[in-house]
Amino acid sequence: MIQFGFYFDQSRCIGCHTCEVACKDWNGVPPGQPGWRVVKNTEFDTAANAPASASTSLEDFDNFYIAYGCNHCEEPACKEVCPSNAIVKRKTDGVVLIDQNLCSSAKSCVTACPYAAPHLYEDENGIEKANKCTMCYDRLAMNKKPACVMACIQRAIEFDTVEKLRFKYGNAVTTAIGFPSDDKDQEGNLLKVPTKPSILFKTK
Amino acid sequence: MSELLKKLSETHITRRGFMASAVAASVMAGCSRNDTAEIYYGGDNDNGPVPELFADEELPGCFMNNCGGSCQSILNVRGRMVDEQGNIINNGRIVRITTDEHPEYNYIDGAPYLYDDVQRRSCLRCRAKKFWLQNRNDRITTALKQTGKRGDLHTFAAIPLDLALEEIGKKLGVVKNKYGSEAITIAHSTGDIGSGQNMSHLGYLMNHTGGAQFYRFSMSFAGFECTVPYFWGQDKMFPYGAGREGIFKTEHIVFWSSNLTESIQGTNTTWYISQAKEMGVEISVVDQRASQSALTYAKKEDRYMPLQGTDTAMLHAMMYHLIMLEWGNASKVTDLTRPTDGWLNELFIRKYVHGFFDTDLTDLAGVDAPYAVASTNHFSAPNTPLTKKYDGDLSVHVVADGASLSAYILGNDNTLVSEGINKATSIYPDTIGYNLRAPGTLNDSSKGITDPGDKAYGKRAPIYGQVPKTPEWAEKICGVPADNIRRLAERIAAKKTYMVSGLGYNRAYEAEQAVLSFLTLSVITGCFGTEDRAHAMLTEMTTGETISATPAIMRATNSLPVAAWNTYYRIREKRFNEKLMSPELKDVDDFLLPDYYKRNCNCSDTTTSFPLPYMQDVIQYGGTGKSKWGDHQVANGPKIRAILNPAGNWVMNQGPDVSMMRKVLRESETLELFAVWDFFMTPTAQYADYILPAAFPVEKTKFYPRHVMGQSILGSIKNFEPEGDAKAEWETWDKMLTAMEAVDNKTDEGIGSISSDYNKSYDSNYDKLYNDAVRVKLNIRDNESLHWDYFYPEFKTNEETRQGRKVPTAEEFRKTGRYYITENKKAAPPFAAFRTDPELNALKTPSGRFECYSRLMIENYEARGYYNFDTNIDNKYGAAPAFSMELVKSGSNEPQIMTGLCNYQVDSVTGKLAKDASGNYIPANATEITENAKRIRFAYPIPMYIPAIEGKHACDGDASIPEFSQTNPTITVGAADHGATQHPDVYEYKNKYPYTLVSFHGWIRAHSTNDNSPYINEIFKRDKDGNPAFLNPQRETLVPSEVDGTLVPPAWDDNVYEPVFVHPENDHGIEHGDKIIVYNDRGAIYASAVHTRQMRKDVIMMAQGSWACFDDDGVDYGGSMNTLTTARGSRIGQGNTVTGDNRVMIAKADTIDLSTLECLRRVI
Repeated sequence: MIQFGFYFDQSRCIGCHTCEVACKDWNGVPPGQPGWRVVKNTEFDTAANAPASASTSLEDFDNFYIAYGCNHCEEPACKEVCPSNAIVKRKTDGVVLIDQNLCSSAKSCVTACPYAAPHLYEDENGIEKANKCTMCYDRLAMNKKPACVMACIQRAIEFDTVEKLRFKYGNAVTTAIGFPSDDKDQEGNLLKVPTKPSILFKTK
Repeated sequence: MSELLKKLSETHITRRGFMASAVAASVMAGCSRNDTAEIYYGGDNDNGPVPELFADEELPGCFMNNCGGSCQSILNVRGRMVDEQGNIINNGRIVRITTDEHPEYNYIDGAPYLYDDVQRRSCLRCRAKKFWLQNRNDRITTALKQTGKRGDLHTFAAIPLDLALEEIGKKLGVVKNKYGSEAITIAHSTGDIGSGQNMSHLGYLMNHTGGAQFYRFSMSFAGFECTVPYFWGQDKMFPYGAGREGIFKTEHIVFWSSNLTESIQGTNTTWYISQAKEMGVEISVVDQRASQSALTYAKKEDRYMPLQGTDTAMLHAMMYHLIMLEWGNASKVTDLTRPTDGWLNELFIRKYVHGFFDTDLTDLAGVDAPYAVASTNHFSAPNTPLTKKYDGDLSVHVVADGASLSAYILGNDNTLVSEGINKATSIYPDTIGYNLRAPGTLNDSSKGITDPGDKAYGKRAPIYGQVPKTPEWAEKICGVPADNIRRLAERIAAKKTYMVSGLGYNRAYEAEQAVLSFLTLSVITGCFGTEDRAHAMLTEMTTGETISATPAIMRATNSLPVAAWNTYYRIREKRFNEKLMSPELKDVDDFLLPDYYKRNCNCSDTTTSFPLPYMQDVIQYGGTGKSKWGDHQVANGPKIRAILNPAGNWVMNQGPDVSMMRKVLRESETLELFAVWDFFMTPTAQYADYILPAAFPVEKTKFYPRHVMGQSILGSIKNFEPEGDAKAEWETWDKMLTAMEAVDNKTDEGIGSISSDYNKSYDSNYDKLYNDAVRVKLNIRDNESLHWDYFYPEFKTNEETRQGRKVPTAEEFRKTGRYYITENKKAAPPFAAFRTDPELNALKTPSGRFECYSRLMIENYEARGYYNFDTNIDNKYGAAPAFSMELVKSGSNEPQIMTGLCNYQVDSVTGKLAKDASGNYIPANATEITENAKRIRFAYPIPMYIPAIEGKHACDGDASIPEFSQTNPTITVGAADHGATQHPDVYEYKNKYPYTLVSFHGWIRAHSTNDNSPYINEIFKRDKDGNPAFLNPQRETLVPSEVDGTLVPPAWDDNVYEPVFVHPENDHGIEHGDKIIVYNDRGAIYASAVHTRQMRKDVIMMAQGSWACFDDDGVDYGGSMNTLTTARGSRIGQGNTVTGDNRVMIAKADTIDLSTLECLRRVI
C-alpha cells in the first residue's frame, strides 16, 4: 500500500500560520470555525532542556513551532472507533477521509485522535458532522500538492510518499517538541495500538 | 509527480450537481456559513469522497500591501462573466486565493548564483484575502458625508459620489483663496499601493491649482532619512546594500534591530535567509528581545539582546574594542585571526570615512570632492551635483583635535593620541540638554491653559564625553556581557560580514545616534562596496545599478507621477520660497542656510515643510509662532486647513499619539476639510468629513515593477468591476479639481487646467504603462519621455539590459500578471565604484567620503530653525561657559567653524544671537567664533550614546551604572544647579510606568492593512476571556445614521481585542487571557494579555496596526499601539519615535478607576 505523508522541518518554521490560512481558504472552512491544521508554539528552556518556567532566563529561552493536521495514520484511531464506519482509509494513497453522508455525529473520532484533527461542523441542515484534513485529495487529483505544502513561505513542509520522504531525509525523526504522543487519545487513555502518523520531522 | 497522482488525475471524476446548487443558494442568501465549502460531501465507500473541481477561472492578482513584498495571488473565481467587448458583466465570486506554484529552482537545490527561479509565495496576509476583497458586508460602497461632529458614526449621510467630489473641490478652492495652497496637505498614506502612488499622483494633480504643503520624512525611515543623506551624500532613505543575493556570498550576517521573520518583509526574504543559513552562512542577531529572527536564525551564543534603547552603547563599545585591539592593549576573545590589514586600518578609514579620526589639513592633502547636498525629504527630488562652493578651501573639512568620533569613543583614554593618530583626547562634554518646549509656551488664558512646558526642558542627560566606551562600560548600560560585545566586534572585523539593518532602532528619540553608529561601524570594518560585504536593509538586487526603492517606483510606475514630482517640487520651491516664509524664519534661513543650500537644494524642504509626526501640531499651532514640540517649521509655517488622504490610515491610527489626534480633529475650529478615500471604515475614515469609496486592487489596473524586494514585475489587472459607487482614486480627482478650479481666483498659480492635462484612465494606457514598468525594472532609459535623466541618472542609455531577456509582451502579461527575472540578476554593489576609486567616484558629501562627523547634518538642524546653543547653560555661565569643548582647530590662524551658527555674535545676556539696530544678525570676529565654538550644544556632528529618553537606562538607571567623569567639563550630570539627576528620568516614569512598550511589525498585518481580515483575526485577536476572536465580515451590525438611516459600517467591534504580549513573571499579576488596560500619560487601551517569555519582565510587546476605536470614556478598545505613543520627534531630524522608546503601565481592566487616569483628560 502506498502511503502519502508530510515532512516538517521545525528549524525552518517561523510560526507565521500561512499554512493554516491556506488550508482554511482552500477547504472552505469559514472563519470562526476550527481549522484543519494548527500551528503550536512551545516555549522552552535550553539550559534546563524542559519547557520554559519561571526560572527561564531570556538567554536560555527558545521556542519550537510545529504545524500539523491529520497525519493520515497507518493505524487511524478515528477509523477504529467510528460507530458508523464513516471513516475510510484509501488504499490508493493512504488518505483518511470522513464520509459526510455516513457520519452520525458520535464524536468518537474527536476523542480518539491523539492530534485533535477531527472537529465538528454544522452541515447545511444544521447537523454537526466530523470533518478534518483531507490531505487536499482534490488537489492531489489535480496533480497538486496539498495547499499547506505549497503555501509555506519557508518551505518547511514537504509532501511525498512516506517511503520516499524516509529515503530523502535519512535523518528524519518521528516526533518533535510540541507533537503529541501517538498512543494516547484526547483524554489521555492509551490507545489499543499507536496510530503511526504519516509525518516525519527535522527538529530545531 | 508520482505515478499514483498521475493515475488519480485520470480517474473518472463525477461532478456533484447538488453542490453547485447548494453553493449558489447560499450565495444568494448571503449565507455566512461554509459558503465556499464545496468539499463537504460524501463519496463512494471504496475510494472515499471524489474531488470536486470548481473554479471556472484562475486570474492573476497582486495585492501589494506596504509590506515590502510583491507576491502573486491567483484568484480562483467562479461565475464571472465578460462580454465580447471585454466588459465585465458579472464579477462572480472569488472562491479561493492561491499563490504561485510554478516549479521552482532554489539556491539550496543548486541554482547558480543570481540565476535562481523562486516561487513568489504569498504569506498569510494575502492568502487570507478572500474575506477581505469580497464575501463581506462592511465595505464602503457609497460616498459618505459627516453631518455632525468628526468621529460620530451616527451622523454620516450617504451622498452621490459626484456631489461629494464637487463639495470637496469647492472647499479646497475656498481654502486656497483664503490661505493659499500651503494650507492644503496630502496626508501620509501607504495603503493599497505599496507606497505613495496615490499620494504622488494627487500631488501632481494639485500642481494644476498651485501645489500643496508637504511633510518631510516618513513614518518608517525617519532616523535614516535625517542622517543617511549626510553620511552617504545620497537621496536614499535607507541603505540598500548588495541585495538579498549578497547574503549567499558572505560568511557572516548581522541582523541589527532587524526582524524579518515577524515583519515578513518582502517576498521570500525569510526563505532566502534560511537558505543562506543552511548553506553555511553564520548569523548573528541583535535585538532587544528574543525575536523570532534570533530564535530561528542565530545560535544561542549569537543572540545579542541589549536593553531597551541602548544599542548605541553596544555599538560604541564594539568600535572601542577594535580600536584597542589594533592600537591599544586589548586581547581578543575569539580564536579568529587578525585580518591582514588589521582589525581596523587607519589608512583605509581615512580614505573612505570622514571624521572617524581627527583630521587636519595634512590629512586632507589631495581631497577634491564636489559638494552636494542630499535632500532630506522622503519624496523629494534626488540630488543634483552642486557647485564647488568650497573648492580649494579644505579647512571646512578639518575635524578639530579631539572632536572626531574615535576621540569621543575613547573619552579621556589617550591611546590614539600616543599612537599619533588623533591630536587630542575627547573634547566632548559629559552631558547634553533637551531642545524642547519651554514652560509657558502654550499658555492660553481663554481656555485656562497654563503650560508647564515639556518636562525635559532644561534637564540634562549623560553623553559620557570623557568616558572610554569600554565593553565593561557598555555592559552596565546595555546588559550584554562585555566579552560578547568583543566577540561580535571581532567577528565583524575578521569575517566577510553583511551588516543588515532593520528599522526598529531608527524610531526612538535618539535614533540619529544609533543609525550613524551602526553605519560607521559597518564602513570602518569595510562592509561596503563589495559583493560579499555590505551594510544595508535586505532589499533586492536587480539588473544594472540598484536604484532608490519605493518612491522612485511609484513615481515611475504609472508615468504620470514621474513628471509629477518634478513639477510638484518646482512649484513648491517657487511658491514657498517667495511667499511663505515668515520674516523671522527668513532671517534665520538667510544666515543659517549656506548659500549652496539655498541655491541648489530645495530649501523649502527644510524651511517650509514640517516633520511628519507633527501633523497634529501643525493643525493646532501651525503659523501661530508656537509649537508643542518647539519646532520652528510648525510655529512659523502654514496652518493646515485641508487634508486629502487617499488610501491611508496614518492620521488616526499609524501616526503618533492617536488620542491627541482624535481630540484635535474633533475640536479643531480651523481644519475645514478632511477627505479620505478607502474601502473600509478605518479609524481615519471615521474621523473624516468625507469618505469616498475606493476600488480594490483587482478592480483597477496597476503594475508593481518593484517594491523593496522581489525580482519581478507583478500586475494587478482589472478583472472585476468596483462594487457600488467605488472608483479608482485617480478616476475621481478630475471632478474634484475641476470644481476647485471653478472657485479658485488665482488659477495662474498652477501649471494649467486640470481638464487639459489629465488622462485618468490607466486601463486605456495599459501597453504604455506596462512598458514603463519594464523599463523601470530593467533600468532602461527612455529618452523620449519622462524625466529619466533627473530621476535615474544611472540608467543605461540604450536597451542593452533588455537584450537576451524573455520579457513578456503586454498581452502575455495581462494573462499571467507576472514577469519574473530569472536570468542574471547581477547588480554592481552600491559604493563599488567608490571603493575602487574614492577620488574619481567621490560620494556627494562635502568630504566626498562617508561622514561620521557631519557638519552638514548639524547645519540642516540649525537651518530648520533649531537654535543649537544650549542657552540653559549659557545663561548660567555667561557667553563663554566655563567649559573646554573646542570644536575648532586650536593653533590655527583662522578658526575652523563647526557650523554656521558660530559665525554670528551671541548676546551675552540672553545667550541668543545678537541683532543690530536694524534687526540684522551681527557677524562675529575670529575670537567670538572661537568662543561660539566652545558653546555647549543640543546636537553634535558625531553620533554619541545618549540614553533613550524613555528608555531603560534613562528611566531606571541606578547605582549599578558607573559614575562618569566629572573632571572635564565642569558641567556635570547631577549638578544641582542644572536641575538634573544622574540618570535623568526626565518624565518621572520609573515607578509610574515601569514597562517599556515595544511595538513590532506583526506578520498578521501590513501596518494597519488586514486588521479586518477574519482569517487573520482569529489567529491573532482575542476576546475578553482570551479566546480567539474574529470580526465577522458578514455581520449585520451596521450603524444606522440618525440623518437618513444610512447603514454605516462600524470601525470596529467591541469584544475583539488586540493581544498584548506580557511576561508570565510580570510584577502586576497579569494572567494569560486577562482583559487588561495599558496606559500612560498619552492614552489608554484595552487589550487581551498573552503570556510569552520572549522578552524581559519589564517589556510588553504589541504588533502595531490594530484599528483604534474609542469608547465613551476615551479608552481605545481597538487597541492601536499609537494611542500610547508620543508625537515627540527625534532629537535632530524630528522623525517618529514610536517603537521602543515608550513607557507604559499595565493592569487588569476591571481594577482601574478610569477617573484616575489623567490621560483621558488631556489638555495639551
